[in-house]
Amino acid sequence: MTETGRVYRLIIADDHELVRTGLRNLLAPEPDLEVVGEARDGQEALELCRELEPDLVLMDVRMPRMDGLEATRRIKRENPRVSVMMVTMHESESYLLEAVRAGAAGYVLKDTPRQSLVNAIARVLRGESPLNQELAMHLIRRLAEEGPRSSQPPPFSGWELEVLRLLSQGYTNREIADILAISVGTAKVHIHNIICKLGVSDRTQAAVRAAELGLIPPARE
Amino acid sequence: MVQKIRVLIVEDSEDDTLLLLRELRRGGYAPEHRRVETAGAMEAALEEREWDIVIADHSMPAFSAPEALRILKRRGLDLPFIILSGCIGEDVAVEAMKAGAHDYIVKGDLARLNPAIQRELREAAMRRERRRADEELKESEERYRTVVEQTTESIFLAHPQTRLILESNPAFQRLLGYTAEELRSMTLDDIIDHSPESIRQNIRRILKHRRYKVGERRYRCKDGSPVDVEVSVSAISYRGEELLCIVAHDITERKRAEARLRRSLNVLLALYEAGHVLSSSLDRQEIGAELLGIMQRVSSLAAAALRLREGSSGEFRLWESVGPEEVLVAASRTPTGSEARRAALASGRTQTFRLPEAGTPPAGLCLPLRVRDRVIGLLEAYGPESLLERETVELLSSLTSQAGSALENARLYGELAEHEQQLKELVGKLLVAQEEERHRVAYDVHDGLAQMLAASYQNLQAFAISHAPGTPEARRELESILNLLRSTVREARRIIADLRPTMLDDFGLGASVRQQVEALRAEGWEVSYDENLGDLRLPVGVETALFRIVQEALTNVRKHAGTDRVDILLRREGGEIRLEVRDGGSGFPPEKLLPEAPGERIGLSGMRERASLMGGRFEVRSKPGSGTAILVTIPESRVLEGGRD
Repeated sequence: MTETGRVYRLIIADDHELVRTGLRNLLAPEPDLEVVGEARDGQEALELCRELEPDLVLMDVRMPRMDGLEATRRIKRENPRVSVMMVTMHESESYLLEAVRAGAAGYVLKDTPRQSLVNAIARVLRGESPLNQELAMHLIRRLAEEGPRSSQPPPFSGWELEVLRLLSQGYTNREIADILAISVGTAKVHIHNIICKLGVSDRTQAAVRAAELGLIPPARE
Repeated sequence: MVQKIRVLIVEDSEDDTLLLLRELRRGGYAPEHRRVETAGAMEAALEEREWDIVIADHSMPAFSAPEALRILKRRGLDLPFIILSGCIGEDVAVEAMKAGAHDYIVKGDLARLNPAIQRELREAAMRRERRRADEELKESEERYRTVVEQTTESIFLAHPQTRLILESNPAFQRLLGYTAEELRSMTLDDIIDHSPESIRQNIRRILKHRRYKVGERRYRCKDGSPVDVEVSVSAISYRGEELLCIVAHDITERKRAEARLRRSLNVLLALYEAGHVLSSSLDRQEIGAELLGIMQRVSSLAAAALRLREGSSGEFRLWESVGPEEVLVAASRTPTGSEARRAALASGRTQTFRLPEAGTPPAGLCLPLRVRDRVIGLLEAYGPESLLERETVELLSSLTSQAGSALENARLYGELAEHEQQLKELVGKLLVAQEEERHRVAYDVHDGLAQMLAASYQNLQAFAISHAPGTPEARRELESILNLLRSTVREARRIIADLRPTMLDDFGLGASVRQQVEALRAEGWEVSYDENLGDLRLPVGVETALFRIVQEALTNVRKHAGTDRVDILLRREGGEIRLEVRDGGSGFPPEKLLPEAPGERIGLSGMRERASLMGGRFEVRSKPGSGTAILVTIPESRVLEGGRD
């Protein structure tokens, strides 16, 4: 799946046991994904993350004790290397926006078909954004409309800004490479540099940070 | 010039008469004469005609001058009487003059005759003149006296220094009830009901100005009762003395009329005021207090109480009272008082009664307050005898009747207002209950059904991997089951969002409306959204209500407006939360916007109800052809005080 040969460690956080079992079963056929823990709420998820240091948390939004958004914020604060993907019943831009702000790398619905879910997980693990292009555009526009929150953007090269712009619009590495007529490897290097300079964990967060910094102009329809 | 003179000559001598006549002619007279020498002839001559002068010989055989003089006096004739004599002694002359003769002339000295005649004629004329004047004066006095005696004005004379009443006319005697004799021994101080100093002061003014209008004074009658008079006084001279002539006009009747008029005016004013006050209030307490207050002002009542029938039990409760409580309690508890209440209640008519019991006011009134055929209350009033005067009773009855209607109106209004309040509370509870129920169902579906469906979908997909169908038909069948499950989850999600947007709970009003806006834009609508609430959270009820109003308004636009252009404004400014949903669509005719119109179809009453429950203002502006605007404003004080519950 991720073509790296290593096995990624996952935690599933959902207050419904049925859903946790469903997700576990759904991912069972994937040899490079291992569900190492299940949490019934945000608090448990946070504790499990401290204990197990997983690669990825599949996080429900609404949970008792501590909801998924708060848990995501805390996990990202404690260990930015842990990626979080929201798996939720709520199809709403506000939830998506809030999730991304909290530090989530992806956002999928619980009724996403298995293959799409697996792909989304793979993209997050590969450091890509599992958001679809349209949603990403909305998201960036919303963030940009709200205005820059920090006035100290790190220095970016022209190439990097160009890549950041495309990345923010939800393009994949290959698409970015094609548009800019560079190799996929070069695109990956640019993205890696961008993520490092912005001090974020993944490309979704990179787009969020870039919007917050006012590096990306509000998209026009 | 020759002067005619009618001379009666009492003389026995023809010759002497001729001499006399010649002397008269010589003096310039044209005498017209008759000579008589007896009493009988003289009487006849006097009887026959008028004479200017009598000239008599002193002594004749059958008659004499003194006798002639006596005849003249007896007849009451004041004619110059001159005695002629041959020779006469001093003493006889004096005697004659004393008897009333005017002159005495010796026949040998006739030269004195003419001047004497001249003088005597003049004097006689003067005496006649004086007599006539005297008579006229007497007549005039009599006329005045008659007027004074018969006039209805009181007139009397008083002495300015002793202040004794000297004379009085019958009218004055009648006015005060004294006889003329009684008054003659009294002074002004006895009959004028003012201080002696005030009386003296007026007398000084009268003497100074001669005529003086004292104005209204109060006199005292013999029986001690006062009488109001209007007085004017003149200073007059009477028998050489300066006296006061006082004319007093009895104005008791006028005073009484004035008082009656004033009372009538007061009554009218009271009724007017009562009508105004009683009908302008819908507060029963206020009406009760006003009624008693007005009654107290227009009558002599000492204490009064208003009792009203309360509730379904029909018990009378003391509602309002004026006057000393102990008076009220004492009078109200007497057998007479309770009997009057019973009678008023039974008959529905005003009861007037006297209280024989000691320690209570002498009179009482019990007035029923009636509305149609029902007695809704009783008013008791206690006070002096005058309370029972017809006018007072009528006035109080009229006031009571007005108050009865006003109280009944207020009661009905109160009930109505209470019902309305209850209704409003009920609607509020209903809306809250509805929202709670939706909330519960939404979360039930979310936490139960939707999760189970999602899990089933996931499990079935997992199962399909481990137990892959062998045939293309089985694969297709599995695929369609999976699709069905997936769309069931979506349906559940839609139901949840409809029932209770979790957004509203998690992100608040601004974000929830934004989601609606985004959803419409995704459908291709042109929607503007002007919002400045940001992360501001309002009380759950307010957020829900405003959100539902937006939903309802958008539903209207969708169903009725025929446009896909909407402007939504949701702002906090000027101490208000302001929501506007405007469309540029077809609009509604005004009759559809009336609260009782079938506006239900466009959900206006629901929106209005929600807005009013938040203490907000709801307004619809719509005209056919120029779109519809829904405007809701809620004072921030109402929104932020409560905080979030």
